Amino acid sequence: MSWLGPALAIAGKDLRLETKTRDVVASVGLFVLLVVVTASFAFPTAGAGREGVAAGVLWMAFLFAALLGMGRSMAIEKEDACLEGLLVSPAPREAVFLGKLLTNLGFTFAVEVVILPLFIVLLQLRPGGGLGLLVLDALLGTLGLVTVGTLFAAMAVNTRGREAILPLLVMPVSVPVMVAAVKVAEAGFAGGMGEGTLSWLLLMVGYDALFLLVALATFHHVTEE
Amino acid sequence: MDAAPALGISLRGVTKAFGAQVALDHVDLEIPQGSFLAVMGANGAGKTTLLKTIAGLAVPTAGSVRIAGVEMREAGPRLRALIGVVSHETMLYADLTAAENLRFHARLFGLRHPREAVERAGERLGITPVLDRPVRALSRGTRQRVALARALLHDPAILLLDEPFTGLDEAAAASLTELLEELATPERTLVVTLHDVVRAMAGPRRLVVLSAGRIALDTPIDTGSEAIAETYLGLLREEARR
Repeated sequence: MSWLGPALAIAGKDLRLETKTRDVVASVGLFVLLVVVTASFAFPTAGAGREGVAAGVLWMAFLFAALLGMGRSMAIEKEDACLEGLLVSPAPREAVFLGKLLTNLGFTFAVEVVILPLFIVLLQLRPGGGLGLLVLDALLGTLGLVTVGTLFAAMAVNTRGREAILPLLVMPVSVPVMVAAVKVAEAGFAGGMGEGTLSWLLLMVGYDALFLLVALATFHHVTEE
Repeated sequence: MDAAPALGISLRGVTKAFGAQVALDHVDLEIPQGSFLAVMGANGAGKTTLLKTIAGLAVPTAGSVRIAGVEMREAGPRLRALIGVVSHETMLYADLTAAENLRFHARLFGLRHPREAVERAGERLGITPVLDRPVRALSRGTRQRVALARALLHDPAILLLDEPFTGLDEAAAASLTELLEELATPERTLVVTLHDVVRAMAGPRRLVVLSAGRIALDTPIDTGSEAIAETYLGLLREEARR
């Protein structure tokens, strides 16, 4: 059995669930919106270093949005032993991981598509030609964060304090991709590629590839008793 | 064609420990194809762990579980597609309708015509009128029927049922007993964990009793059902004294 069919079935099922409950969009969307609006009041409208601080705040918002969404998306599988239902099917475990990864990427990107333009407008940033770089940054950074988060969410789902444990597991491991994403976002807000931006982008590509492979190789062990 | 014996389940020296707690302790069990086996025992005796181990959801700490001669640890999609599992939890998404749940699982099992498979399962389990209702809105008995429909969508050769009577009223339980008898064909293996010794006497042809993770009794169920029931209750009393 290929990975793609079951992975798409799982992601499609999650999307259908979300259209009915709006659990993730409501909780994550409101939280991130609050962060962006608050930041827009707190930040100076001019001055040096604004881009760096804005990049940091943006990625903190993305990180917490992803954590909230991933925790919720895996908690759904815990209710009524639905995860066991996936695991006893002939779908390869890697396909189950990819399905949940697609779901989490979809939810996080959906939030980012709304938040990034809003963030730029409210904080009066002028990325100009750096907009494409910001989009690439969001794609690579989110892929890394969500790959690690999906794996750890599957680990944390069987623990008692899963909502508290997930950030504790994800945050230390996501430091490299977060730093790189912030650096690239800073360059993006400043108008385009700067010194060292390419290295940060390559670091994200390497991080994403490495953790995607690690997650695919270990998800089997993470989900078995 | 002599494919029938190949789908037997074989447990050799299976031990499963969760930290210091031993759930299964050197269990040896042969379940030939076509068996209808009831597994009983007190709470914590290891019944659910035994089923999870056979289903490939739990990996034995020691020993081996083989289905059709293949180690479950290395089971590929083809072998897993032969197994249907009904847990005492439904494995259904409460906010999806029964039909949406079933179509999703039909796709996971790679069925070519998911809609037709769902319709057939709906008719077989008598749940067609509730297929478009959210699972959350269904009674416990109807949910259990949907869960059975999910497990039967792919017509599995091995059906594992973990306390399927839990929470059912008498009418739903009687209906489930009839269904299990109907499903118990020479081609299909049924393993069902139970609490109620009367139910074990109504359908299953063999009884295994687990006590503290070990097999305390393994007997065919035929004419001596009263003696078996008495032996079982005696084992429970003995365990309670310990």
